[in-house]
Amino acid sequence: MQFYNIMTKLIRSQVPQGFQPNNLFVIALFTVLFSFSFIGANAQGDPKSGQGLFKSNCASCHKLNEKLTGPALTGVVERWESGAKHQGIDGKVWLHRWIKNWQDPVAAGNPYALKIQNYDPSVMNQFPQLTDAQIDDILAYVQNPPVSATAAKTTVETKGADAEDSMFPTWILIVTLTVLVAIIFSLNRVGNSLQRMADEKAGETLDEFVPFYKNSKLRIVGGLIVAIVVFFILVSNATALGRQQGYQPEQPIKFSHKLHAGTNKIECQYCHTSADKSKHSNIPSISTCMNCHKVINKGPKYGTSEIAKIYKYADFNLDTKTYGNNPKPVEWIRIHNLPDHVYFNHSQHVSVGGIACQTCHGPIQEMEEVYQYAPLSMGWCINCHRNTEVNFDGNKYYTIYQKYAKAKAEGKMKGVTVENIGGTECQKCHY
Amino acid sequence: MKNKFLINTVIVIGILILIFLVIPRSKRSPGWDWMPDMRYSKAYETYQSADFFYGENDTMTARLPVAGTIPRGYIPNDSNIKCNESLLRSFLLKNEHSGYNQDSAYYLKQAEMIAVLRNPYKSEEVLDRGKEIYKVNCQVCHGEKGEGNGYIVEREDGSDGPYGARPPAYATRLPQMTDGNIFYSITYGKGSMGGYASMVSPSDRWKVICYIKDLAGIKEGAPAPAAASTDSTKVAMVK
Repeated sequence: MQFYNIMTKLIRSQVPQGFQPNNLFVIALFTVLFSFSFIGANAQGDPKSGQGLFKSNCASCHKLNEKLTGPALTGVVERWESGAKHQGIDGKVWLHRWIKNWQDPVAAGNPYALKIQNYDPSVMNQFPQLTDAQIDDILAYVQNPPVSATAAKTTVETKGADAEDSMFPTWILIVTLTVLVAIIFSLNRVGNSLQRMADEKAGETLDEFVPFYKNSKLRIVGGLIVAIVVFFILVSNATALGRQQGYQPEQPIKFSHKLHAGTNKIECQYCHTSADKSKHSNIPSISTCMNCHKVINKGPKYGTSEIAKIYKYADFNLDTKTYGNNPKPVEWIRIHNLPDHVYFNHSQHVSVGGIACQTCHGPIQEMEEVYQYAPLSMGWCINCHRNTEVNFDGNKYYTIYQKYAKAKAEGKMKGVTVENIGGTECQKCHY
Repeated sequence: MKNKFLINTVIVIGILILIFLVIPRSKRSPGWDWMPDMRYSKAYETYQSADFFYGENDTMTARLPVAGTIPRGYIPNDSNIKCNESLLRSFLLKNEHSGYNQDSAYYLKQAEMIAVLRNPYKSEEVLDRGKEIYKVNCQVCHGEKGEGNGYIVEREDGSDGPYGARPPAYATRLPQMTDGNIFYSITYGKGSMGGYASMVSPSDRWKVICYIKDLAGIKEGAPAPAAASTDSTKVAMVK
């Protein structure tokens, strides 16, 4: 292709200089050579370089077979050629002028341009920097897109069977172990009774056999073990009661953090914008969803069904790309809920503390559905406050702790923890 | 006799409590609580719905402010007040801004208008903050270097991401735009891009403009694009 471009340029530059025999020979040679390779190509221009130009200039608003901000471009050359002939100038020339500056054919009164100039939802950008050759390349790409570009589809991830697979061997293991223990126990008993019978036959006198559950020492030890186990279960379950760790409610939209934050690497604060500004980390409004889903209307797992819910909440019409007047809030189910008598501030932890979201919320980027990762208990809070060091030297506010600064300078103190600056005082969180 | 009965009762009740505690609760339910009236606040919490408003869709406790309410730091829609937000808003008010439905005459007026907006910040002072904002809000589409190859547009190996509308590279697009033009596009959206008025504050918007112009290689003090030259008014800009 590159070779062909160079040659056409050569021909273009050669032709106006006059019909010298030498040049004529070159032209004739290349005409013969390339007429074979280009039979069937109905547009001049190079679709391959057109693809790159299309990506960098047009793809933000146009797709080939689908309406985006602008109309679908398949057949655009044919539409202009058939409909836009004006003042004796060919439709394709008008199309070139439209792409460079759409107001030009409108001002010239081209009927087709007048018809499409008020296209919803937006007017077109101007591209004066594109040359005619570049526009030809783009149009060639639009007319003859490479097969791979149209056939490329997003890959579907199929996971989920993994969890069940990994459960299977555990079951086998447990069953096998139980059976083995039972066999050992019964074999042991059989062995014991055989031994006793053999002893009796030999005429040896024996102590009376005492079953193990009547042995008083064993009874005390066993009772203690049972009591400890019961106590442990009782205490751990009683403290877990009301903590809601692992709570994973079913949400109205099957939004996957794994797909958005994990696979697509979207920053947490893109959606939760107020995590560094406010006490609450906000639930994004539906307009934040629409920033991307105006364009993406099909997901890898649920297809169009879940994204269609967003459109319903936003009252968005996918065909016309317009919004209605009846949007509805999405009723997400709250997962993390601190009791009313505890004060927690997101901005303090995110903005001042510089703590990653995952510290408290767990591996969010791997969660298909979000669950409560941390227990959110008081002990959990306090432990973290005791172990976490504040950014003592990087924050000017901490210069008021002169005693710590001195101790640190003398090497008596390695780091200043949150507890040191009052992070475990009752009224810091309970007031 | 009586003593033994008591002991048995205690044991049975203990076992029942044990069973109650050990039964695994469904992960779909928040489960039991020792003191539900302390965990679940009587006062409405953020985003909670309420049942005492009338109307099927009207259950939000986060009510719209009363008409005429002004937020802290509010800048009124008055073109006599020479600051960016005020000029932009008063212009939009005057021209009945209706989102994305712009006719061509309106579009031209908008270009005139945004020629007036000025960036109140000096580039080198705010590049760090601009980069933070860019990384969180812009990079996922526009790419780390502003080449329009963000992670959801194009993967590292060059294959297409899920987002089909590839943004133009800053280096080719930004030299054609005035600062005010960029500010308008971030505020209200452009093409497939949504508006970021609710996500990025006005001052942060100006800071990120400094950063993306730096990415595009546009030096501060470079001549403004031709579209802006229609403006002859000199306006001192504050935030």
